[in-house]
Amino acid sequence: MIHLKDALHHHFNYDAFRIGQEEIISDVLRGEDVLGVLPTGSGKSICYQLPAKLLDGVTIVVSPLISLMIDQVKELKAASFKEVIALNSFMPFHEQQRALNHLDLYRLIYVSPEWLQKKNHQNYLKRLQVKLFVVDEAHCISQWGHEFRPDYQRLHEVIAELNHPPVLALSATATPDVQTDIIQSLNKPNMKKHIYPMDRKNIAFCVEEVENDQQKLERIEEITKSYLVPTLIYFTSRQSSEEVALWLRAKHPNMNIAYYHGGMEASERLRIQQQFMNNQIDIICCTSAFGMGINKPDIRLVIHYHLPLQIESYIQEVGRAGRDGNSSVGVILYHKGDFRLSTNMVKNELPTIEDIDRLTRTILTYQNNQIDLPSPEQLHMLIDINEGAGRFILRQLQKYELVRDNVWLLDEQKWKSVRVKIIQNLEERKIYKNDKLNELYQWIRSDDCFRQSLYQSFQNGFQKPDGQCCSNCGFHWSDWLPESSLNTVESLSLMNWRNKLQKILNIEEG
Amino acid sequence: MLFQGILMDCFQKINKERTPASVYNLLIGKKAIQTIQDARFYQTANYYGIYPSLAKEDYNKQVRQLVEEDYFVEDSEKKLQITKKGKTWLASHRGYLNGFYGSEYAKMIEPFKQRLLLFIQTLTNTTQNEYRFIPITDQYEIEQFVKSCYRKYKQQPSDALKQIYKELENALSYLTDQEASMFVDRITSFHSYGSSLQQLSQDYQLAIPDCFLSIQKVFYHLLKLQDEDGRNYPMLHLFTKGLHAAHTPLSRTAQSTLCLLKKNHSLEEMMRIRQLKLNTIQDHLVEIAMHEVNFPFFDYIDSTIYEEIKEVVDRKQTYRLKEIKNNINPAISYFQIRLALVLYNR
Repeated sequence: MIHLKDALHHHFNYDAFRIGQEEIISDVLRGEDVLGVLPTGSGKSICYQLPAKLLDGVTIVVSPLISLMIDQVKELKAASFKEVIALNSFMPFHEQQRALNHLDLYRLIYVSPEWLQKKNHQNYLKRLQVKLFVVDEAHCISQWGHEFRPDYQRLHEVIAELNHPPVLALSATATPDVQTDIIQSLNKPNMKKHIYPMDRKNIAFCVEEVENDQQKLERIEEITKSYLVPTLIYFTSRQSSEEVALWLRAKHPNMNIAYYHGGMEASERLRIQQQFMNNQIDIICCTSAFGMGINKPDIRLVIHYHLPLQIESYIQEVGRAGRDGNSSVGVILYHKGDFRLSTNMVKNELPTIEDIDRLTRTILTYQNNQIDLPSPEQLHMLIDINEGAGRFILRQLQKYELVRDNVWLLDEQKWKSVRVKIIQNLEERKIYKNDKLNELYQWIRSDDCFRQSLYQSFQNGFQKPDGQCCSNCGFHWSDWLPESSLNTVESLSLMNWRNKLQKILNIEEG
Repeated sequence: MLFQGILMDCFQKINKERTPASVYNLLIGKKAIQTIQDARFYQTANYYGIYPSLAKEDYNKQVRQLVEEDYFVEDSEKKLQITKKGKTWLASHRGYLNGFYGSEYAKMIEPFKQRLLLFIQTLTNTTQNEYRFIPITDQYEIEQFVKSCYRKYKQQPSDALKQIYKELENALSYLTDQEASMFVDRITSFHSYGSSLQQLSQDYQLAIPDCFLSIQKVFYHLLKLQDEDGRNYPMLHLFTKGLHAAHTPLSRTAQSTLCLLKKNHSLEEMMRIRQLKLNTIQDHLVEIAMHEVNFPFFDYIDSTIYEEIKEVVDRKQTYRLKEIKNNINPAISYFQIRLALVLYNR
């Protein structure tokens, strides 16, 4: 197995494997089907990136988030892995055509599940020597995963079309139920399971109940004043991430603080991301859009101003702290009003029965009068509902084949036969989401060890924490003394532009 | 106030003859023939396409704000007109609004900008032996261009950087310190990613659109300098290689129509061959008329019609098609009026 380590060093410049990587890669190279569950931030992607370099053929990776796959491709290219590409429906037509005609130039091809559903696209892939088929974020297969994607449930068809290459399914958040679902849905009963505990022994959990939003701000001000360390502060709304960033900046004029959310232009987002990587920014106020594919090893503090809507998301977000293994803290600030806010968000993420009926009526009327329909992906605009709610309806319509390949296949008859089922699914989904939310709030209100209760539905037990455990076991800020990695970047802002320009262009003065 | 100033200038120039949407189309550089024609008629071509990423809501918000602050007033027909306050402001800030060359460099500014910035990022990294960096853009054409430049300069990269410094230093010294400084802050180099617009807005206490437009103005300035004084700006000039300046060439579809026109096909034949509606073919012809020196105007309008239209334009001081139409022989079509206006502006 020594040669694997050499290959890792040679291709990726890492000196050692992290937990689980070597075992998974060996099985993958032997041609086995593998399910890998590895904690966030443990370097899941190396499990297929290294095989992609070593296998004599193509590795296909299905990834649910386009921005994530684009980031990964950028990073790989920067690390001189050039034979890599991301294919998705947002690619400009001629660029996609150029790529499709030269697919044999690539070793590693990222695709979105929607893109992969198109027969035409599958035909291009069938001409290649596919040596490994990777399902990233495999929990999306399961109805019980928190990010269910119906297109994932059809992956077994694609795998068969490609003549059953070895399959590697990866996830960071898969409970035992979800694991069973993944294996069943992929139709690979002999999958070898590599399940690793997801608890992070270098992160302490600190849950603080406050009276109101104002007190949250005060706490954030205090904490960030005492600790000059790379920090993420999570919000559920774009607006609050902006507002708090500006407020905090006024409080700490010497710190570099920025906000980041999905509403910003891609190039502006990239600037903020990269500045954070370069330690030009100390604190980022962000929504869940931040963090996917960010590999900053030394984030010391992850503060939640708002909680996400389920434990899985929390584990993912807090897991961005301390990837280098050094002591880090996850802080949750909450007050009594937060639960109502979260309940409303859950409600808005699902359509009502009336929404669904209104939509199908509109579609049928349009069709009968031969009016052009917008594409199914835009259906939320047709009846003006929240995008998340629109996605739910779309997925249901896809499930019952009323939409396929982004084409409407709806008619009166079919609709009548599935309406009851869809309504039933909606009710189930509502209950499920509310259960998830309740589980999260029960967790933060619990008197038991936060570490134990956070991970209990995923695994038995957990590792002994490196430092302090959690605020229920006793957490003292005074005992947390992280090394400050912010080697105060030389401030350019005070220089005149000529000096700045010289510095940027690396010109000797004078 | 840069953005607001530009809006005031535009609305003053269109003088109630066009809708607010037409100004928006101008700023984002819409390729519609109407927009391009308007830009010429109303002398707003300098602002053509200076703000491609401007969102409609932001634009509307800004326009409403100008009404609230009494720079604009809405008349009974809901048309926006500049107020005395607005006019006074404009009169004392003329110089501030100069320096945009929108239509002149419409096709050049984006690639020029990206090429220059990516080249700087590449050279500053590689001279520090850093080959792993996330490029500011991953557009294929830009990457290819910078690659070829890089090959040319990788033997003496620090000479290239020195030359870029010399040219930028020289060029920026014509501008205000604030403009120069914002431009420099936006540059991405070795281990230093350039500021986002939000950050500039905080650092300089300016609205985000003003930050964007100030930097945009610097790029127009650089383009102008290398155009007029290429000998002193060889590096900047290099980044325009293969880019076409000036007048936006014909749209592809109008080009096809032009081919038919050159073979002397009639309007009806062109419609049949191209399977397009009359209106569309007429749009193409107006577009062609604006580009082609030898356009056969008088195949479509005779000189009496032209004189009649010209007289109305002069007397009423208007380019509004509807207004013109109401004051001439009803048999004259909108198409003919549009052609006449192109000719009038020659």
